[in-house]
Amino acid sequence: MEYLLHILIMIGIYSIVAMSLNLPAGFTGLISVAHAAFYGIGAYTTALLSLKAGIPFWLCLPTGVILTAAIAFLIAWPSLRTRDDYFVITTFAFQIIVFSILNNWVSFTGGPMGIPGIPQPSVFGVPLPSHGAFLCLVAAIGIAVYLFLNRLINSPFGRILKAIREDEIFVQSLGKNVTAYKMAAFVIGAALASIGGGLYAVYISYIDPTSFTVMESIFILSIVIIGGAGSLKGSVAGAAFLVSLPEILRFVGLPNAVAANVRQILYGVLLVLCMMYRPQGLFGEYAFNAHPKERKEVEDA
Amino acid sequence: MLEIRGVTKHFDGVKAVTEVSCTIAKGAITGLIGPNGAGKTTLFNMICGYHVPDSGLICFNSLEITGKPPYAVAAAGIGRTFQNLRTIKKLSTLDNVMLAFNPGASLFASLKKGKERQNRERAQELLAFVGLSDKAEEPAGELSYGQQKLLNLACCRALDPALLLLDEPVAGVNQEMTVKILGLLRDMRDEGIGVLVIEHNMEAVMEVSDRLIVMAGGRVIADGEPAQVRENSEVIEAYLG
Repeated sequence: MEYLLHILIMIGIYSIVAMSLNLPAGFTGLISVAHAAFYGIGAYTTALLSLKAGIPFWLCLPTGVILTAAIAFLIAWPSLRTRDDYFVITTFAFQIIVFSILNNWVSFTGGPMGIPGIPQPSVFGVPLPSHGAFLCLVAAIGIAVYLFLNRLINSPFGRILKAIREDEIFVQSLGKNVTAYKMAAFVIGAALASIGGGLYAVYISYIDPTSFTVMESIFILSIVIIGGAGSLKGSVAGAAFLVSLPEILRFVGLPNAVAANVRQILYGVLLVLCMMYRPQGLFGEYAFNAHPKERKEVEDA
Repeated sequence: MLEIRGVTKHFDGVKAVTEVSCTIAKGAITGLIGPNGAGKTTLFNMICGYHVPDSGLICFNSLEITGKPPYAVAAAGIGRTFQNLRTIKKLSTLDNVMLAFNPGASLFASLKKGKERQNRERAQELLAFVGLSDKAEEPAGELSYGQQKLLNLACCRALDPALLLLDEPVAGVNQEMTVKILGLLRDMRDEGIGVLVIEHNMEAVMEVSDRLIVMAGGRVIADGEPAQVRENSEVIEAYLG
């Protein structure tokens, strides 16, 4: 039972993180491989604040959100001057920088040793007694994130984001500051990812930099792609699928050392198959494509 | 209303537009013609902020807009269409029009849902104006080529522009649709909107324009009433030579 709850909690956390990436990547077309960095900043903020300053969990989360949003804003400033492939590369660079800081600033982040003993969260001073209670917390926050994003993408603001994904030049010609919209999508996405990070930190109660590498960013992006870019339900389904997949492998009876490697191979194969046969993912309506052909530059005659 | 003074743009030594000056009046249709490579679209792109001129000045309602970003130019009241179709194919026809509302408004204004119903009604009116009311809920990508051209016109109008720049509005559409689009241009002119049209369909542009500007080799070689321009020896040479 505990084991099943553990998987559900992880699905919940990854759903939050994948939905948050879906806003910039799926709906707006900003493919970022820095999402694990923002997720990590959220995790470290909660871990450090609760452990070193004794700040209660429910205050750590919003602090992480604000801090991550501020950092994402600073990153977006230079990154959004580039587009498509170049944008991916700038986010990649940022991801590497964050990992290096987490891994090397030993006095502050604990370096490769990580941060053990993160206090369990409590709600109104009452510690959450069990996995079941924590699952309820994750589910409640997950639903809140879903409702917030759902509202956002169905608003006039969301309509403009979807239009930017298809044809930036057209959107500009209709009087919209495309860069400001992209910035907003990127910053909101990063800020929501930090919530997932905070939940992860208090749930596992130990974090180290290896949880927030570029591989993790790619894993999150895989959830978005396989679930369906531009579909929030897809992100939840993708998280459920990719998180439970290695658990199924466990039951097949592969030794742990082999299972870990098979897992990586399986993710890779899935991603390739998805790109070849179902580029819109499980639930998405849009093929995942960094270069929609409509995005050509303004032509000259 | 729109004043262009000595505007020049070179691309890696290629003189696309050289020292072009002209003014575009409101409540009139001005045709912009010229052989391929004359610099017509480059001029459009400079007015709309997609290219920054190397030198010269562009003023709109006595406000300088040279080098302003495209969204700011659009928000200032200059709408444009493109040579190729630009619509958001997965969004509904109505949503495409609604994209254009509140140009230049802050992000927070775009988040509000309050004005949505009002905007929806206005978008319906604009679709009715171009005759696409029955397609409102269809994805824009499912419209025919001519219908997408009409949709582009509706999107521009949603900006509530004082000036419209149309890049080949009737290129590649059938006779019936051409007549319809030209009729819409006249309607908009009669409402006081200034219309500047690039068009290769000579018959159409001669018929609809109140005034013609002819460009060749990056320069304006003639500017006047269509009948006059037609007789101009330089123009005849540019088209035949």
